[in-house]
Amino acid sequence: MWSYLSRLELKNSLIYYLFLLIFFFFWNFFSLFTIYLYTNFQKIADIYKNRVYLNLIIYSQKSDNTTVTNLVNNLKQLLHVKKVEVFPPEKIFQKIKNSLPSEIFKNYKKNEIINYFPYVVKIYPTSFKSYSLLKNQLQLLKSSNNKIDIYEAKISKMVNFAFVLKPGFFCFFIIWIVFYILFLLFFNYFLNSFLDKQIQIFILLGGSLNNFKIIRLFFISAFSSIAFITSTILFLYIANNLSNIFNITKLTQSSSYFLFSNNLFNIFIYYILTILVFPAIIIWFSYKKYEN
Amino acid sequence: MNLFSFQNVNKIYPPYFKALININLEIKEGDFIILTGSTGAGKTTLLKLLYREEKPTSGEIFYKNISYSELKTRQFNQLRQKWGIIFQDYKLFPDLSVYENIKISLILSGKKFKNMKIFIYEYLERFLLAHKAQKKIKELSGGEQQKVGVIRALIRDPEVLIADEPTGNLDPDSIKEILQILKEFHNKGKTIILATHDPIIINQKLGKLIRLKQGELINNVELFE
Repeated sequence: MWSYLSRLELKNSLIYYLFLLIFFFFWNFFSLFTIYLYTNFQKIADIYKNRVYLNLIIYSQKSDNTTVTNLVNNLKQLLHVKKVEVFPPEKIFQKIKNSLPSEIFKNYKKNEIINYFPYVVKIYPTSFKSYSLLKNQLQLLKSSNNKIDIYEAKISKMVNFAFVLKPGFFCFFIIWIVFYILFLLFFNYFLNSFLDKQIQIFILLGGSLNNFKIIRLFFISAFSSIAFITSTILFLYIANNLSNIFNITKLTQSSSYFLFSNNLFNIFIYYILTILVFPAIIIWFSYKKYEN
Repeated sequence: MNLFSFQNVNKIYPPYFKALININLEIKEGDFIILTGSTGAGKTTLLKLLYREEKPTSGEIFYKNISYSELKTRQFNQLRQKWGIIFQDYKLFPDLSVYENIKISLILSGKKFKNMKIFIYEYLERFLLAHKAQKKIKELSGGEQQKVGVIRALIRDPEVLIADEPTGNLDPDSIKEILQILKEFHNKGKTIILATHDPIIINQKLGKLIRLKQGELINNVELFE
């Protein structure tokens, strides 16, 4: 009987199952890719989260040394400051003198050039969470002193963004899963109405709806599994190449393959939920109308 | 004991077409019921309520004194497995072959056979359809499809046979064959409920004649016992 039921299910609806296969291929690929981007972003943020800092640039004459020292002392008293490093204009000059055009040295003396350089104060927050609070405090300081400027290092911006991204990512992923569930609902209701006549005949002959439910689940799982395997292979291939191109592998000390094999349990849960549990619930739900 | 009973059953198709009006009917085990009436009298609707393809708008239907509304889906499936139903519109699986359509019916009846294939071919032979056993239903003529529908119901050797116009598209020889089988069935003490307006069957005086007119039961005449 199972072979007949399989034929009845597939004969006219094969095209729709192929559509499911294509849909799940891209859905799964995009899901894995989103997780990949998110986890790598978080991993990099984790590595750098103790290295975030803010640069305070103070445009001050050398004679104002005492003013800078006072300012630095005041900064050290702030609530969220862990460490303060001061780079005087001389040090900055030493660092970049080789990149300056040689004409400058012909027209000006070294001391004259240095006078144009600011003081750079690197301020490290007590923790990554206090980064934003510290930034707000420094903004206040800036508004009261026009010789001060704040410069955010790119890496600090990225780490801060990763922190903000966390809840956004979870919201997006819930919406993404809801989208998949809605698709499954649409797919099942559509197939039921398309195969309505034969379902009715089968029931009138004394057949159990469970047979149709099992067959439907089998085919949905089979087609989705093919899509899952192929899109996961494609994902791993692309993710590994991207990791190599952007040097993520070196940075996080783990390849995409390693990350994948290290999370086999999570992937197993993901597989069970998307390919067995969600479809089973929706199939059970969609056949409700055939019950007395 | 009543096998089936209808109590004040009404069926109204939206918006206001009254297909059945206040039907009160009792069918006992071993009865041979012939439902007759002109087209649109409500014969098919009454049978659809009987095998629960549709539900009544009001009133109750009982099977062995148990209300249909109390029967769960699983219990109803088990009942249908013991019944043989011949549908007016045949209700065959068009993409399966004649043999497969009959085999599914036999499998669902839950009966065990030593050699199902031979058993099915014997029936097909009786209705001169053995040579078309592997043909798809959609490749058969209307009459041939009706024969398959009849075989599918009879081959189960059901406790109750519900037949809606089983001879509508058949040739006289096939009608005779079906009548012969129906008599054999009835002689075994089985219950038959048959809707027809075919005078050949009505004149055979096989059982109780129940006449429907515009959805109402107008008489209950015993023709033959």
